[in-house]
Amino acid sequence: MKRHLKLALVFCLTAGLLLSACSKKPTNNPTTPTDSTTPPATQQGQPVKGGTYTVASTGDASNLNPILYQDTGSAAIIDKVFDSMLVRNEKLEFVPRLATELPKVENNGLKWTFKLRNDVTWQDGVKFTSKDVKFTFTAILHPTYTGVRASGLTSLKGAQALRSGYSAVKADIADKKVTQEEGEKKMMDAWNAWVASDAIQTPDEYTVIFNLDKVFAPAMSNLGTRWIIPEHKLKDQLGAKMKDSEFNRAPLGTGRFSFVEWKPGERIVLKANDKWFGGRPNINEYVLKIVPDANTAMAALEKGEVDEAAIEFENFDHFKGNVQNVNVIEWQGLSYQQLTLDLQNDFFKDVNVRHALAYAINKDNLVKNLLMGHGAAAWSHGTPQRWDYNPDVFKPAYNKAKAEELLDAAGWKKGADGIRAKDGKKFAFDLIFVNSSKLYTEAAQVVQSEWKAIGIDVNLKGVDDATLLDLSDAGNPDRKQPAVYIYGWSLGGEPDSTSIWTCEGSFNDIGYCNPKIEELMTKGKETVDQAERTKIYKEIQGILAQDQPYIWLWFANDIVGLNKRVKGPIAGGPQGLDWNIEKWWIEPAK
Amino acid sequence: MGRYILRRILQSIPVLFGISLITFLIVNTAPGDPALLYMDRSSNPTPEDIQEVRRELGLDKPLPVRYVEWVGRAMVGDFGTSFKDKRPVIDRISETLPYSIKLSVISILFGYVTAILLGILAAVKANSWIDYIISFFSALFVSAPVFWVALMAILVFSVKLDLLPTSGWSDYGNESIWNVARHLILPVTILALRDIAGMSRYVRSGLLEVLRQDYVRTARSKGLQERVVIFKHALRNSLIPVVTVMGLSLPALVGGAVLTETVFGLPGMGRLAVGSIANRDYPMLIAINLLSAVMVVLGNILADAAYGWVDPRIRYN
Amino acid sequence: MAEPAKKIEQQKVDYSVTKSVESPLRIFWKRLRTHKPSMFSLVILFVILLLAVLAPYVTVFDPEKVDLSLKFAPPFTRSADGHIMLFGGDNLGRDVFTRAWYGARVSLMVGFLAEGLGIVLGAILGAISGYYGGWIDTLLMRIVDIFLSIPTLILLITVMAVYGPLVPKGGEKYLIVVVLGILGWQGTARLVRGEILSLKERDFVEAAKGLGARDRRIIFRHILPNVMAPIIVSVTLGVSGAILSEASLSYLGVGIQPPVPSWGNMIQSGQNYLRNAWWITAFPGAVLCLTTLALYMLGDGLREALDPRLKK
Repeated sequence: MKRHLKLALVFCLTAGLLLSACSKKPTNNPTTPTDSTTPPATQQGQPVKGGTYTVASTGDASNLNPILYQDTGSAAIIDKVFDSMLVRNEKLEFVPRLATELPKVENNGLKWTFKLRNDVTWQDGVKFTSKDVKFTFTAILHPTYTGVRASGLTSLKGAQALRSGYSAVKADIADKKVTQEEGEKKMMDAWNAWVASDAIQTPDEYTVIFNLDKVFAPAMSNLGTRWIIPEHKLKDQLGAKMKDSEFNRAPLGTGRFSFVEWKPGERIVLKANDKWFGGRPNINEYVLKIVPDANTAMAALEKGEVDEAAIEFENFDHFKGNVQNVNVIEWQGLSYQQLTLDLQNDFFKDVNVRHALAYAINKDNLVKNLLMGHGAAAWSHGTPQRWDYNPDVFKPAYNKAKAEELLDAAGWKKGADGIRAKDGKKFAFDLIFVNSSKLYTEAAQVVQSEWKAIGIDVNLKGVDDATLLDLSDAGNPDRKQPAVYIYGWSLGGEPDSTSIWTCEGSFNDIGYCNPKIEELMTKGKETVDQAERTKIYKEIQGILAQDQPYIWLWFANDIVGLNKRVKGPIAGGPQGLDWNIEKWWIEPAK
Repeated sequence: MGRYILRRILQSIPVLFGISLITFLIVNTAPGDPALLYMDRSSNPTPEDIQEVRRELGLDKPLPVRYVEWVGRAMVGDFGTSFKDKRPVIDRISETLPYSIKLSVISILFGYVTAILLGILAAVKANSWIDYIISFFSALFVSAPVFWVALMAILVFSVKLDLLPTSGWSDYGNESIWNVARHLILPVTILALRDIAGMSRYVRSGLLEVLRQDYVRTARSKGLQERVVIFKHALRNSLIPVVTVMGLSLPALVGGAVLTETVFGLPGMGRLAVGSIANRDYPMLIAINLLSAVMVVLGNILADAAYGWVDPRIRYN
Repeated sequence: MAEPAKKIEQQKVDYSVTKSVESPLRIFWKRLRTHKPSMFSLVILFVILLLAVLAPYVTVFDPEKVDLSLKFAPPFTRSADGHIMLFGGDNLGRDVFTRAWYGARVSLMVGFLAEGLGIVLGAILGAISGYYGGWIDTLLMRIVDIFLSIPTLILLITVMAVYGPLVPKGGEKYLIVVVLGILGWQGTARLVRGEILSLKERDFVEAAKGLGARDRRIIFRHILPNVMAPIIVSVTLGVSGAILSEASLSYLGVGIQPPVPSWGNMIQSGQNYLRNAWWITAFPGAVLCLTTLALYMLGDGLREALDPRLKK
């Protein structure tokens, strides 16, 4: 599961989103019956300052630099230490944070002007200005930058050309056409020229202007929701040097909490930022405690050793019914899980076969028994939590007879052993899943059983995250065996998913290629009007469901337990459960 | 004695080379390209890009060259940079190792003292019901799976009876010795159980054997108290087999620590190892395997040296 | 340097059984028969083995068939077709009793084969080392030192995680066998080598040599039968160790892959449901413990039967 969040994160980057908006992202959804609204108990009383809030996390952070980190564990901390110009609220709408208002868009969508607050200081007292914003973007486009965020900025004027230039010089260095030094100098000159160009302008301390090459609808999140890093701390550590910077272990931001200590594998401690421009958070100290085992984490929550821990489906009833000191909060997440069909393989090229495979799976049963009711069936690439969701797509609900009929018609006939075959080839393949996830392991076995019932011989292959990434990667020359992969995508607030569904998309590992989707994806990125965009993405979801390159399985709910001493306006939102943690408080023990 | 230990240390050098070679080979011939895991996949990487990442991770050279280079750097304490968090491997290890060493040392001390006491009790009361009970539980705990016993212990002592903390090294902000002790009671006991169970059997049979020997009979016939006979005359000789097995039980201890640290959420090297496997963090994995081996080898040397203390008949030359 | 250790081993257990005229194995068995815990363990092991071998006849359930309507069915629940689920249903509604015995087949098979491989490797290498001595001995014993210093669990997890996904369907149990065998021959090798070193000097080997017997013949016909007894002791413990290793690997998810049951992966699949359905974890765990306990007690009895000084 962890890996898939990571995968998802990388995806969010391509879509030009901020990681925080992509990872484990919750929203309240009043339409789901299992959804529980915020227990009123958490809102009683008056805010009190003080106390330590402890979260049990199964994973540690790895790098706390907002332009270098790659994992959700780090994002949870970075989100509290740093600020971005805009953030998304619980309805996935943009609201200003370091900016004073939403950006002004001019020049037919090519010029974006952000006005910044003038009362913001870095946690060491230095004043925050537009220079820091510009620095953050230029650092990402530095020739020797080692992180994964550069491709998200290619809509900026000249940025695409700048990056192509780097690639050309690097190729020349590799071919020994230029020396290392000459090449590096060339790239640095190009970068300096780009920094001096009008791509990003700072006419005064509190204004930043971005100029784009072409209209790019995701620019609002792409430019606005990026965490800003301090120029005065990092200006001597650009490019490859930043990789080894102390800053990555002891960050300094403008955010609600400031960094105190990080004991790897044990805990990360933050303290309230007294000078935060939005007002000092009520909670004194935020502690992320690493508890790798989920059961141990839940036991710690029950004992009051931690204030927050994820609750697994099977423990929901126990916590809801028997645990007096814990509030259980549940919401539908922004991620879905799917059976990924390898369309390059002959088995799965026929859309009718894909439909048959889908009809054979009882999604309601999976939701009821594996998610224990804490989720909903998924039918296409969309989430009910986002404005572009299309509920009226093709839905191949469980129908075994129909599945068998479709397979028969497609020429897959049952043999004496009950296994279907066509042209002497048996319908048999691997189902590959990450076996550190209990849910995936169970789902794999159920799916195997259901496909076996329609005459398909499935071999289960439980692997670790690295192996799944490797096996499912389209670039893997060893990928010859027919296989279906179980994993999921975590969606952000931005619906552009070019990298998954276009023919050349970097996450299109299955070889899906539909010219109509290609066209709509391009249109979606260049359309700024929200209503128009909604129509485009609804159409995309309809086509995808009809093509069924994935067999979408479910949206699983997020369930978190909070100690009842934690009070405040607590509700899951797209920024996470603790997106408004600055407003929470801890009731002192009586 | 000093020369003997020095010789043993010199002799262990080829052993350590062998271990490093084995782990290096296993890890580096693994299918699955770590470059794919650690690169920017969002930018439509070309084969050249992948090669670039491989170069950065040091994976582009032929295997023998990589091994020689690795050994050269390892000699001066540089085990490379972790693929995962891009920090020197040695930093991560020196952060986690103290926890593992503390856990192991406390477990060994606790385990051996308990085992010797139980072993003496069982031998003195040989073939009584106390002996049988001790024997049965030794047999049970030496054969029961560690992860299972650990889970049961958490369920009973932390969740049901609410006596002890469930996980972690200490509560936040409270690293007093008592707080740490409370957190370590379960992991130390679980980790020591196997040693207690196994070792008490050795103590028992060693002591029984010694008690039958002439000099013990002589001591007894001189009218010495049984306690004096056991602690002054018999025990030391009966510890010889214990010391033998001590060295051999070290790898099992390191393995047990992997499971124990994972279940109890202790920030030690065992957990780092499990995490590194999932992340394909090759430099980290090789270093951890090697370091555990170094500890085991050192433990064996110490155990051998300890023979000299318990059994004066052995002379080192 | 294994010198002191070897001295101790020999001093501790002087297998003087060879002095007798009767075959050492027969004396061994005679002594064992009087040892009650061992005989009791033998019976238990026999029953477990029988249930495992006869699993398809012992139960009517399909060990791998998912039936979500029987998810978490408590022990003694009746399935739709009227059969009683003695140990209840698991997280996917499969019969835990059935899976426990099908799991026993896998776990026992891995245990015996892995230890068997280890013994064969160990006996051969130990015999070669002890018999020929010289540089062969030094080399082999150094290799033994290397292997004994490897913290095997970390290495096992690494190897299984890396190579496990590559083996064809159902092949992971053989991979475990091979890896455990390769990592588990050193004890036997040391034992056999030690025995041979002490036997080598004895009269009957000298006599055989004097009669012009070939090296291999001497090893196999004269020396190995004499070390059978201590090997049998180490087999019981070794099998138990191999079963535990397999269980640990399967528990960590890198061993036997579901839906094929093994005790380790059954415990893993149930550990999250202790509150909902303790029986998923408890029964396979109990059978596992019973098996390893019986093996251990048997080994204990065998050791006593071997050691004349502990005779009552």
